[in-house]
Amino acid sequence: MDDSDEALFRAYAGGDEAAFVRLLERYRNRVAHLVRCRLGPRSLWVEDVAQDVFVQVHRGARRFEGRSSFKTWLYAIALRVCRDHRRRQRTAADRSAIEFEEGPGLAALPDLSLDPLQSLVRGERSALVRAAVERLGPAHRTVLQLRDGEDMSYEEIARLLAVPVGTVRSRLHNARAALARELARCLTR
Amino acid sequence: MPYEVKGMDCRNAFELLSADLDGELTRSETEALHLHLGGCAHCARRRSLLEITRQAYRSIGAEPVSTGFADAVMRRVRRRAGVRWWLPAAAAIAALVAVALLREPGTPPRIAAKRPVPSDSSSAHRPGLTEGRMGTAADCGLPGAAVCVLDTPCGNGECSPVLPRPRGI
Repeated sequence: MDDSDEALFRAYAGGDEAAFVRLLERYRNRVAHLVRCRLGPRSLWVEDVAQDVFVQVHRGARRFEGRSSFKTWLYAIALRVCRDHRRRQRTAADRSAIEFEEGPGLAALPDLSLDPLQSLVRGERSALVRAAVERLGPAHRTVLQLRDGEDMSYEEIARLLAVPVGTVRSRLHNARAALARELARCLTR
Repeated sequence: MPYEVKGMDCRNAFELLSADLDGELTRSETEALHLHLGGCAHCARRRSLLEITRQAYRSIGAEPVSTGFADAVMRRVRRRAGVRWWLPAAAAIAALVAVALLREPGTPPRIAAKRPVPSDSSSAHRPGLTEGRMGTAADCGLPGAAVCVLDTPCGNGECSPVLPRPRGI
């Protein structure tokens, strides 16, 4: 049997609930991770919002036309649900983070080398990188996750975020530079 | 020390480094950048810094959600599906009950809202009418009249029947 996302979703649209469960199991951690990128790592709403995403997918099954991949469609729903949630819960801290991220110019890189990062054991390295990612703003975390976590092309990310490809390029560059700075800061502590 | 080769200085090169790692540059951009990197240790070091950062991010996976996550989603999905099935049925039943309650036994359905009663009920009727006489639409001249003093409805749909007043009172 074809195990692709699209085949499973077609089966689900035809009434096969088990196909929906398989998609849910395939994407639950990744959707929750994307939601965490948007809402912030300490948000208490991550799992609730991630559940909302799958409920929306279920409700909108008939609207999926197959013009994009299932993954792109799913993440578009996830970003929309996060946006609605944030609109309801918006705080002054969130607003200042967004303004900072969208500022002009490309972010500078740290002078410090990140070589010590390579020598850390896997668990330590993961904890350190997570701590550094947590210090980034939602726009940077999101673009990093879509590119380096999900391997999406710049074109796909641009469509998903409704921004020009050039914006994806500079935002991703700024995000990596910001992450490099945070990693350097974590390493020198 | 700033380094420039074929119009590509360090600033331009820096802006392209991240996209170069992702293979998202055009062929000419890639050629110009790599020419620059071949002669600029500073930019080459910056590129390796971004590469380490990229690898570091890729090394962390998504944290697992709680064990009850999928069950919770399926419960919500099934609850929604249940609601979707019985909601129109419940609405239809409620509408039927409402119609049955409005309809008195032995009378035709009368759903039109009652109109306000004029403060002076005598002004609702034309002078010269006498009690006990059969009313007609023409008798009940005021459109706002809700209650006719005649002993039968006038028939224009505006009046309600009232019992004739006992004579002598």
